[in-house]
Amino acid sequence: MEWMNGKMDLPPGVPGPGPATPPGAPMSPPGMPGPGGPGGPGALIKGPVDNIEAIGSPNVPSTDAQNIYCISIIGQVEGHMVLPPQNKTTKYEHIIPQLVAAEQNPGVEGILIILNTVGGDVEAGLAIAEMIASMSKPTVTMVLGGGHSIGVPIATSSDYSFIAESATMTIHPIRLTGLVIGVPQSFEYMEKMQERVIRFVTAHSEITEDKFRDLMLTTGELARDIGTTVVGRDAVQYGLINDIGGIGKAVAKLNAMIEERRAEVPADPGVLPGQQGAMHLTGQQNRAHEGHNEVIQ
Amino acid sequence: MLFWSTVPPEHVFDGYDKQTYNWVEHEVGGVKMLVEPMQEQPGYARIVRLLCPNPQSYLNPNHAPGSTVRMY
Repeated sequence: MEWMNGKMDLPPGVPGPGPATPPGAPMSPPGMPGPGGPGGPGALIKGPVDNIEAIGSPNVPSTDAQNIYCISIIGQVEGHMVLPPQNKTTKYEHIIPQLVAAEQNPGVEGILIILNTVGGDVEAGLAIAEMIASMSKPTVTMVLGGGHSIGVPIATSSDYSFIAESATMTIHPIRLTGLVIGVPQSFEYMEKMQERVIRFVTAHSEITEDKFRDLMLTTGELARDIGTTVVGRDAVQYGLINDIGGIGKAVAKLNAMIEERRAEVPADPGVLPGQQGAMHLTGQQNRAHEGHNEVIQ
Repeated sequence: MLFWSTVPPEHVFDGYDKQTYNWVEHEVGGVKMLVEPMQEQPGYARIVRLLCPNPQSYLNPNHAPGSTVRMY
């Protein structure tokens, strides 16, 4: 079994059993007699083996308590159509329940969204952006590499956004792809979609509508299209993104926002004195209901 | 659907009409999902998407699309 040696080719981003171990951690390579005797490496192998028997996967779910939930949006944002396999995609039907779970899970206190996307489905992208914008927990987005097209509203949707100095964002008009019938109504529809994007971006960032339109309709910048490629510092200067920074700054900002929120919201917001009684009553009702069923059966 | 990307659509949609799907519904540990059985590894399947109403199951990295699950 190759995975035991930690050599299995895992897609990038998937934590492998081997390389994920930090150096210096008390873990010897599985299969080799460790200093802890047979108990040490044996116990390590047991986890993945159990896992592969149960769900057929060598990945062991992390049990570390983490208060930050990180979502990466990479490649194309895949929405209503399944894209051919040469595309690397982020499926919005998976991102949305993850955001719901992060919002609902009391263990998650902040959400970090890392973007390196080339665009994709407008409605799926706007759905993700609206979900992030409407979360009650602190959110930080970070543009690494690129946040193009529909990546722009997603990047601006958070409470605070960062862009790496070398990262770029392409702002260009929504185009006809050949999948839309070329009648005036289609153009009006595209115009409306574009308005939705512009309204979202201007509402969630400091950039003015005129500036955003200017960037979108600039000629001579892009080889195949009209629009502008905005690099790191320019994005901050135009007010599109809050700050320049990498992962250290993004996590520090998120932690600061979490601390702020802790100070505002009482320690356990889930159980208020009034609700406690109500929950207790519900429990009793459930038990009564169960008992009732037993009597009937 | 409106597609908005810096990648030319002729690259993105290349082969769109030639895609074939062999998706089946499968349940792993109470989580219903749509999977594609792997030709090269009988008994295993790749997750296409989850069909589960519990949002917490979407946080499990083993349930990410593209992960491998054992079918039988």
